[in-house]
Formats: sequence, structure tokens, C-alpha cells
Amino acid sequence: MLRYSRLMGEHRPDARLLQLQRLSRALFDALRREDVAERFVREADGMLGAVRVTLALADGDDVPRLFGDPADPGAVLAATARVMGAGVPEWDPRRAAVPVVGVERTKGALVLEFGAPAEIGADDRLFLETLAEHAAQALHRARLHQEEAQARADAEERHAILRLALAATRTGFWQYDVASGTVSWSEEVGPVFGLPRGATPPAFEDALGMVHPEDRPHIAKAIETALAQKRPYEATYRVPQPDGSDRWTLTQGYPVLDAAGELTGINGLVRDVTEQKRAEAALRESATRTRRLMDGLFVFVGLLETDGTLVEANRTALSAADVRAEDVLGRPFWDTYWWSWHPEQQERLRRAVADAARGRASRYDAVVRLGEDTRITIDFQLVPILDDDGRVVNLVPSAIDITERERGRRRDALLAHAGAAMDAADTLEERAGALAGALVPEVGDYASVEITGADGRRTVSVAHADPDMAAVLHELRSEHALGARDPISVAAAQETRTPLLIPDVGALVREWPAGTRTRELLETLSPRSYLTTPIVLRGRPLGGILLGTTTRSGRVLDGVDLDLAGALAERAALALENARLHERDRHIARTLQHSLLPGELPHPEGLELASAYLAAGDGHEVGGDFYDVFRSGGDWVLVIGDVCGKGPEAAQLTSLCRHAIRVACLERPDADPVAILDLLNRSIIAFQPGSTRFSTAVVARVRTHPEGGAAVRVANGAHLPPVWLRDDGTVSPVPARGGLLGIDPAWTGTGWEGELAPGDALVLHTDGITEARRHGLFFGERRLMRVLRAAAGGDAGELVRAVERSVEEFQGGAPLLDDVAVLALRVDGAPRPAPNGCRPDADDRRMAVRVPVRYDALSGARASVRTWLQDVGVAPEVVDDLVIAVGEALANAVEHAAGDPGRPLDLECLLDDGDAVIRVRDHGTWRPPVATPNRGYGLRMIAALTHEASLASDGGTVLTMRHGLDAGAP
Amino acid sequence: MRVGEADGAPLVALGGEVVQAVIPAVHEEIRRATCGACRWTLDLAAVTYLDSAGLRLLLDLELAARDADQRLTVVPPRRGMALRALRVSGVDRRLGIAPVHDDG
Repeated sequence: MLRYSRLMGEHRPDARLLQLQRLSRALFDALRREDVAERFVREADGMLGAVRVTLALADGDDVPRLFGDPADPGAVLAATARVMGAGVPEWDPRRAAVPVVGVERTKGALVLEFGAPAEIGADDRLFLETLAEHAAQALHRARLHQEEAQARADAEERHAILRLALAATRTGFWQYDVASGTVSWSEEVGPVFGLPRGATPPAFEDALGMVHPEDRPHIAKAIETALAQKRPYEATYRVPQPDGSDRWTLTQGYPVLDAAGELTGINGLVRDVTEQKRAEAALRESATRTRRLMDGLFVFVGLLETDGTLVEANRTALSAADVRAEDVLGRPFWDTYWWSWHPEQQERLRRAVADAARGRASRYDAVVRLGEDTRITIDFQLVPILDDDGRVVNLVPSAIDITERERGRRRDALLAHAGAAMDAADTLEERAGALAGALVPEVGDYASVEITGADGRRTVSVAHADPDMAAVLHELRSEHALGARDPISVAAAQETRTPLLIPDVGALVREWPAGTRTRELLETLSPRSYLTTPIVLRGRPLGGILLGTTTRSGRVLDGVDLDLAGALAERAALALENARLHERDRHIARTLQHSLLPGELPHPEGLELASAYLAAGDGHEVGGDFYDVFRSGGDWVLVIGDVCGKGPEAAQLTSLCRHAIRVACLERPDADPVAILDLLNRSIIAFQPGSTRFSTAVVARVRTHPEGGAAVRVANGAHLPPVWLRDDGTVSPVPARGGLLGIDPAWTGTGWEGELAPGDALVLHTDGITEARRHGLFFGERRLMRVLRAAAGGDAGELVRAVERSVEEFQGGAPLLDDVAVLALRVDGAPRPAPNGCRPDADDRRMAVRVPVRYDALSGARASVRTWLQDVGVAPEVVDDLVIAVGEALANAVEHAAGDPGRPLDLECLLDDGDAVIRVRDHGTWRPPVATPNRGYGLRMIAALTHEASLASDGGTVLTMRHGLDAGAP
Repeated sequence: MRVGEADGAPLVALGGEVVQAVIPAVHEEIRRATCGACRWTLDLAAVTYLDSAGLRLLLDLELAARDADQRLTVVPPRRGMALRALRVSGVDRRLGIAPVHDDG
């Protein structure tokens, strides 16, 4: 099982593991060897396409017994004899034979006969060998069980004989008279002393002479004491028989006293207890034999009372835990050294004992403590032993060490985990870091994943179980090229392209030249063992994985870890290559994008300029947003635009737009923005005939006045209107208008002209901002206005940063769906400290107002709900519905509330987990509704317009409406 | 509210918010303006908002016109919210101004 699962783990999960498990389950409670063999053959039927599966079992020198239905019994027997003799399998294409090797006498073979010559691969072989191991273990368990049962049966039989013996009046009666000094006895007593039945008894003193010389002293003393104290006595002794054997005799004496309390004689019983003694001895012998058997096993075996008291434990179990029998025997099993380290393990065991005491066997994987405080995983079984009446008399715990199997399973999990972690990470370095992180502390105390890029640059990502040591490891790996003598070298692994395992690296560290930084770092790191494995993709080395342990932890890496590192390196090669390709894409996109945006904004006199560009998603595609600032005549021209689509084609159109606008201004330095857009429109149509690609754009021409302020002319081709932010905080969209660019040759637009006062700003932006969307809310133009209003008075850079910050906050780490470009221009003016945010606005999560109980107050209340919903970015159609619903709720409250008209209604709106929630509370009790034909529209409409509406009464009445913002209309 | 004449029949144009607060006065005036006419037009184009009282008013007017054997023509609101209220309540069908293809 162990070897097999390790092999399979490297490739794929396998139905065979399941098959093994099924087999294991089927064999688990087979108590006789025949049962084991028959179940085994049944379960293995048809395995690997064999026409016949036979299990041959040999007991001693007998001819093996065949289980199954061999096609050619003679050949199967011959193969069995051969593999049993040789101890190694035979892989004949027609007949595969694997020896079944048990601990003691169990011997045999597993033979598969194939209809046609079969190719038995390495996997298959290992699988069959594992099957044979399973069979051997199960047979062994069954033998153990059978021996136990036999010993018990033997003891029972002897008890029965004893009972018979006693019943056959092997018990006799005798009397001793002090006055006469004579003994009399019943006829049964004679034979006890080796005399004929009915023989005359000897004198009391002589009777002692008939006792076995070794037993005389103690019986004489017992009698003497009894007579002196006038108390009954009991003694067991041997009486030699004429045939030389000994009979065991039990004598009981009862002193006879007269009225004065003087001893007058002794009445006694004699019983022959020879058979009982023999039975006891046989039981002892059987127990000793079982004990020897148990001690010789490689499994842990013990014996419990039904209450869980441990009465036996085999040597394997004791020595593995380094405990003495007296430390553990007689104690509740769960309180013993193996289990007491963990309450959960104890609890589980206690339940298993309770189950077993009721006759139910348990089997589960447990973790127990062994010597030197180590832990192993065991396959633990607890089986009840029943007597003839079906009563549970004892429990047998047994266990096999499956630590290695567990290790294989954990390793599979680690592989999967590390793979997923690498895939989830984005950049090359993040992926390398994810890999290093996955290895620590699972496999080693530290790990370094080192990648050499195409440009020769070496990237080192480290992880250390002790976070403080990560820096040491990083410095050591990245800055101290250790060359060929590198005691922890990836370079070596990379060169030779073979993995390397050094279990003890101590000497290498000590040999490093003293006084160097490297030596210092090495000593701080204090490596114990390490391994390296190259990361190779299609024959090309990318780097390597270094995995190590420290002397502090004392862990030592072994071949299994090396295998694991190798598997991870294969996985890493693919993940890293993917990241590399991805990064190249992104690099290209970034480069292209930069070529489409001005490198650095100019610093015109009397104006401030600032811009920001946030790429959508993970930034590996070229976005369609662009902006530009350049000088034309005495003016500055600002451009912002958004080309439909993404990628290279969009980039081409973006480039065209920028150049067309620049050329238009070059040709006519005083060109009006409307004329510029008209030319741009014609350029797109002319240069991209047949394309359906279009663009939106805003062009603003700014001329500063020497006395301060600036004149501005704006044209807009279906782009979002620029925001005019006045120094005092008032904001308004610039009303220039026009159609999409690149669709209709006859483009028309209406320009706008205005005067910017000192401190006024013009903010151009793309719809990546306003369309930013999260939990069903849009960032929205109103929010943008609010942000700008709050930032009014700040310089251009501050305005842009405020927008950037609020978009980032709004996204809360989620990637943008579209690119965002912001370009701000501010006319120089006296700077003013930015307001400190104490605006009366309701916040983004909640708004509350008190509404007078009058119809004419409702219009204002509806307006404040509308404003707030729009401000927080609720979609317009949802805003309409909610305003209608809230209007009805308010009207109802005014109509029905009979309370004090001086107490206003409470109206509260809030965002709750993706829902908009609106509550209207009045402070009166509801009047009974008046029946009119057209009544009831209000509540019906509320129900129709919201996802959920409920009425509650708590002194007043509360109507709560809830509307999911991610879902569609109700 | 505006009362005028079109094609020799009364034309009543409502605008803004048609809500409980204004209804008693409006209702009375409309009754007076349309009394005795055999047909008249109710123009809701400029209505921005209708609450359920406003909807009830429209139903009352439609019922009264039918009782008086008047032909009532209703011009639907231009603004979304008033239109939405008519749609959601189903009053648009009673007034004969529901769109042929109801996509809402």
C-alpha cells in the first residue's frame, strides 16, 4: 500500500488505490484464514484482466491449498512452489505469480492467469506485490485470532474436566480426634494419597509424611498456626503417587472446639485439584505462547479489559514508545503514554472502547506518541473478543504504522496546494514566492526558489519558518554568490541538472573561511540538511529550488523529500514559464501604452497640469484611453479620449487620434476645438475605411490671461463632459456637445467657451471612472463631482490624487473593468487649505432624515432619497423605483399615522450587504384602513417595486423595504 | 395645471408632481373644466411623479368620463418615474396608454 501509493501519487489518483481500500475493508474482519483467502480471491476477481486469480496457501510442508478456480492447477502449484522458493515474483505473460510472505508460517503465492499473453507493467507489478502484502497481513491477523481462540478453547475444556472430576467425588472428608490422636476419612480420600479407595488412614503425623517434601514445611506451619489460634486453615500441596507423578491436593481444616473452647479435633475436606492446576498451567503456557507471538509481530498489539484497562501490550508497542510494561499496564488505555499527548485522540479512543465493549469493532487512522516525543500515524483497530455466549470478554487493539502512507498523502496535498498557489499568483516573482511559501514549514524549515531570467538577472524568493531569518536567507542567496563551493548551491543543480541531497551540511559550513560575511550568514542560518533540484523546462534550466532544515529543528531531509522537490520543480517550471509569458505580454502592453501617452506633462506658465492612468484588469492589454497636452500657437491644447475596444487595433486608432489632433493644430495654430474634432472625425473615416471603430474625445484649448485666469474653449465628441471645478467648490459639467467620432462623415458639435478664474480647474476624465462598478453600484458622475468638490482648492496634482484614491477605495482591491484616465488643469491662484471633510453630506453607507407628517413635506423627502441613491451610484432605473416606493411609504405613513403630528417620520436609507434598505417609521398606531374601490395601490406598488417589504410594529409602525442592487428589477 | 382647448374640446395639462397634497384642488378644477363636454384630453406629458393618490385621481377621472359618456384621450407622461408608476400599478392599461409591447 505504502509503496504503491507513493508511486501513484506522482502521476495520478488511481482507481486501484480505491480497489486496495475496498480489499482492505473486505479482509479487515475476516477471522479465519480460509475466509481471508476466499474473500481475497473474490475481491481480486478479474484484476488486471486476469481470467483466473488464485491464492495458494501453504501450511508447513503440506501441499499448498488453492483458493479460487485455477485454469491449470498443476501450473499454478508449480509457479507457487517456484516463487515461494525463490521469494521473488515471476512475471510470465501468461501467468504472474507473486509470493505471499507472512511473518511466521504463513506462506503462499498470488497467481494470476491470463487468457492471452499480458504485458505486466511496473505499476501493475507494484500493485500486485502490494496486494500480496495485504493478503499476508490479513492472513497473519486471522492466524493470530485463531491461536487466541484455540488457547481459550483448550482452557475451557480443562475446566470442564475439572468440574467433572470434582463432581466424581474427588472430594473427600476427614476427621482428626485430638484425644485419641487418630484420623478417619471417607473412602475418596485414599486415592488422593496414592492409597486404594477405602484404605485405612495413617496417623495424623504420618499423613504429613505422605506430602511432597518441598510442601511439608509450609503445610506443617499452616496446621500449627491454625491449631494454636483455633482457626480454619487451607493448604495446597503435592502428594507423590506410586507412579511417580504428583497429585495436587487442597486441604481445608476446621478446628472443633468443646464448650470450654478447648480444641478437641479437626474436621476437614480434601480435594484433588490436579486437573485445575494443570488447566491453569496450560492457560499460562498458552498466554506465554500468545505473548511470544505478539512480541514477534511488527504490529502493535495489546489486550484490554472491556472498561479499557490495558492488561497486555506487545514488546513492539512498548519498545517503540520506550515505556516499561508496569508504566502502562493496569491503566486506562487512553491515559497511557501513546495516547495521553492529545485530548482529541484520547476522546476518540474512549469512544472506540465503548463501541468495542458493545461488540462493535472500530478502525481508524490515529496519531500516537512514540519514544523521544515523536508522532506516528497508525492504522488502528479495536476488535472485541467474544465468549461462547456472545459476551464481550476482552478487546484487542492493534495498529500498523502508516506514517509513510500519510506522508505520501500529505505530499500529494502539498503538490496540489503549491500548484494552485503558483497559478493564483501573477508575476514570476510572486509565483516563485508562492512556491517557497508552500514548502515551509511543511517540508523544510526554509526554502529558496531562484530563477535566472533570460537577461541573466537572478531572482531569489525565500521563505523561512522563522520570519526573522528570511532576510538572512535572502541576503545569503541573492548577494553572496557562493560559487562551486556553495554549500547550498542552486547553481550546481542547475549546471548538472540533477537533484542533490546532503543530509548533513555542518562540515561544509565550518570549513567556510572564518570572518567573512558569508560565514556569518551561514552560521546564523545554521543549516542541518538541504537539497536542491533544478527547474528545467524543455531542457532549458530556469533556476532551482533549494530546500533546507536547520540544526535548531533537527529535521533531516531524505529521499522522499527529494522526490517531492523534483515533482514540485516540474510543476514550477510550467507555472513560471506561464508567468514569464504573461509578464512579457504585460511589458509589451505597458510599453505600447506609454508610447500613446505623453511622457511627462509640460509645465505651462500660469497653469498646473496633472494626470493619472490606471490600467484595467491585470494590465496585460493595451487600453483605449488616451490623453495629450501640447502647445499650439499661444495656447495649450488638452485632449482626452477613449477609443472603443482594447488591444493592438485600439492602439492603432489611439495613435491615429493623437496624431490627427496634433497635425490639425500644427496646420492651423488657432484651430477651434470643434474644427479639430471635425477633422479628427474625417481622419478616422478616411484612414480606417470599413472599420466600425470609433472614438470619443474632448479637446480643450486654454489661453492664459497675463492678469490671471484663462479663457477656455471646449469641444466634445460624445465623451463624458469635463468637470469645471471652481475655486469655491462649485462643480458643473462643461456643456459642449457632439456625436461619436468616426461614424458619420457629417459630424456636428457645439462648442463651449468660458473663463476660468484663478484657482478654477478643468478635470477631463474617461468613463473608466464613472463606470467603475462594484456590488451593483456605479462610481458615478455624482460621486466624482462630490470627490472633486471636497478636493476643491487643492492643486492639480491633489485633484488627480483625490480621484485616484477614491476610485481605489471604491474598488476595494477589485480590478478595474476599464482603464481610467484623468487629466486635470488648474489655473494658478491663491492656494487654499483643503476642507477637512466635515461636509453635511450623508455618508456612502447611510442617510437619515426626519420628515414632518404633512403631504407637502414629502416632495423634499423624496428628493433627498433620490440624491443619496444617485450619489452612492445606484443604477438610474433602480433609483426611480425606490423613489416611487419610498413616496408611497411616506404617503401611507402620513395618511395612516394617527399619532402626534408634532413627531416627524424617520426616514433612513442604507446600504447593507449589496442591498439598498429604506425604512420609514411613524410614531402613531395605524388607523384601520378605509375601504374604497381604488385603495391599496400604495402597498401593492411597494411590493411590486422592491424585492422585499415588511411592516413591523413597535409602538409606532416601521415599513422596511429592501432592494438587491446586484439583481435585476423585481 | 393648465386648462385650455384643443380642436374645440377641453384640454387639461398636468405637470410636476401629482400627489395627495394637490389632488383635492386639481380634481375640482378638472371637473369644472370638463363638465358637459363630450370629449376631452388629459395631457400628462409634463408630469414628473405620481403617487398612489395621483393614480387614484386618474382612475376616478376615467370612471367619471365613462359614466358621463365622454371620450377621454390621455397623453402619457414623458418622464420615466411617472411612466413607471403607471406601468407598475397597471393604471396605464385602464387609461388606454399602455405600450403595445410591454417590455417592462
